[in-house]
Amino acid sequence: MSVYTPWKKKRKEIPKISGEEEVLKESWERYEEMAFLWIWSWVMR
Amino acid sequence: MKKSPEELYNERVERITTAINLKTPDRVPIMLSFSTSFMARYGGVTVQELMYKPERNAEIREKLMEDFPECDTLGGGSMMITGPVSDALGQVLYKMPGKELSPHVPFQFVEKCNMRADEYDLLIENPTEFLVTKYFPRIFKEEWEKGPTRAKIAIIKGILAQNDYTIFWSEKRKKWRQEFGLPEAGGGFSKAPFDVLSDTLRGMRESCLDLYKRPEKVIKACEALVPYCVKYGELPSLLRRRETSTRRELRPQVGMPLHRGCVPFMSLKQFETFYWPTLKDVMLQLIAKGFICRPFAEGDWGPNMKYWREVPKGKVVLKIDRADMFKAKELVGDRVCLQGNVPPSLLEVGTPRQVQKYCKKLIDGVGEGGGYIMDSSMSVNEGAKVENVRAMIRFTAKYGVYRR
Repeated sequence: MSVYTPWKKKRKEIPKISGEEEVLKESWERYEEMAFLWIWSWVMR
Repeated sequence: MKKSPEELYNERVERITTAINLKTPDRVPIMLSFSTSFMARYGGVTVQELMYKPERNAEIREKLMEDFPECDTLGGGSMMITGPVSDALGQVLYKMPGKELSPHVPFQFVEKCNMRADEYDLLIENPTEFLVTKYFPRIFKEEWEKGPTRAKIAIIKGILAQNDYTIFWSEKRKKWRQEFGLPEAGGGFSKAPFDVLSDTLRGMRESCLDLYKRPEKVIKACEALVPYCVKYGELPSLLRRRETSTRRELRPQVGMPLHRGCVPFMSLKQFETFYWPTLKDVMLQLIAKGFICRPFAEGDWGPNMKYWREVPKGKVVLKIDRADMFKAKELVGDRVCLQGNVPPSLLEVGTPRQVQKYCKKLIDGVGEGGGYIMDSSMSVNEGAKVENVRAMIRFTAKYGVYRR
């Protein structure tokens, strides 16, 4: 739930990945989590 | 011989950890947080400067570290609620010093309802979507009033400003560890689900009425918020651990200010129905993941004290505002580490001798056998006399040594 758009869903929007999928996944999820922190910081105060 | 910062750091970590584990450390740990207004006065600046210029804020913090090396941690001073972030977004949750308020006073929370009663289902179904689509346009003036382009730019500015602060404080924390041997008490932050609902969403008036008008929605909303409160509490430590996995730290801790759960706000029956079950759930989940919970029982939690027997032993540090510390020690001192509670009134109008007398009582009674941390009952307040703060710290460092 700390990820609003899960990688699984995002992956379907990318027709082809020429490099390592794991690199893209890690980066995607990290910034999803950071977005979660920022959004929720406005009620966690 | 003078101890190195690394030795001091390890000594402090050991002292705090032992107290949290309800055992007897070398002396009573001292963990203070300072209010913005006290820090401003101490550093000879306005509160506005403190909230807009992090470098001034850090300088004053370092002065406090130099002047009071007996402190085992040192917090407060509004590191995350900041002027630049507030202005970028035009947030309306707080009135800020030097803007809507005098430059010399701390920011003020504006009590307001930011969620309609017919929006409970959306909150329950998808809390994050509710926050982004309904709540943000109500609390960020730049978003709702100034048109779509300015709204998008406002969000970008807000995030960039926040990022500046996050990087700034992260660097400072590293420096304070290296130069002052100071561990960090924070790490994560969370709240009771009912407080999430009541503080900034429904507001005090509406959330109180909801307890009678739509109790089942309140319960469902609190239950829906539990996983978000857990995730928010653990995420900063998880993100940080990925970057620095070899550092020796205090066990990761999650601060939790408890705002509206005690008796003046709700009856014990309501507390048992609406507040405690989901707060306890959040804490138990965090504890199961290896965290220490640090709830701050704001207000008088005396009548609610017995509930703290339900948390696992040695996993919670309960900072107490106005409840009787000695009764708390008797009732829950074998379950939770107690922290506090030198009254702000005493620090403001008392004498150093009276402060020492009060601290002696706390150390003798609550500190007996360990499981106690010296602190003010809130953050050190604006009017606190420096000589009284000094008396609290120096007396504890000397008298609070345990004889083995």
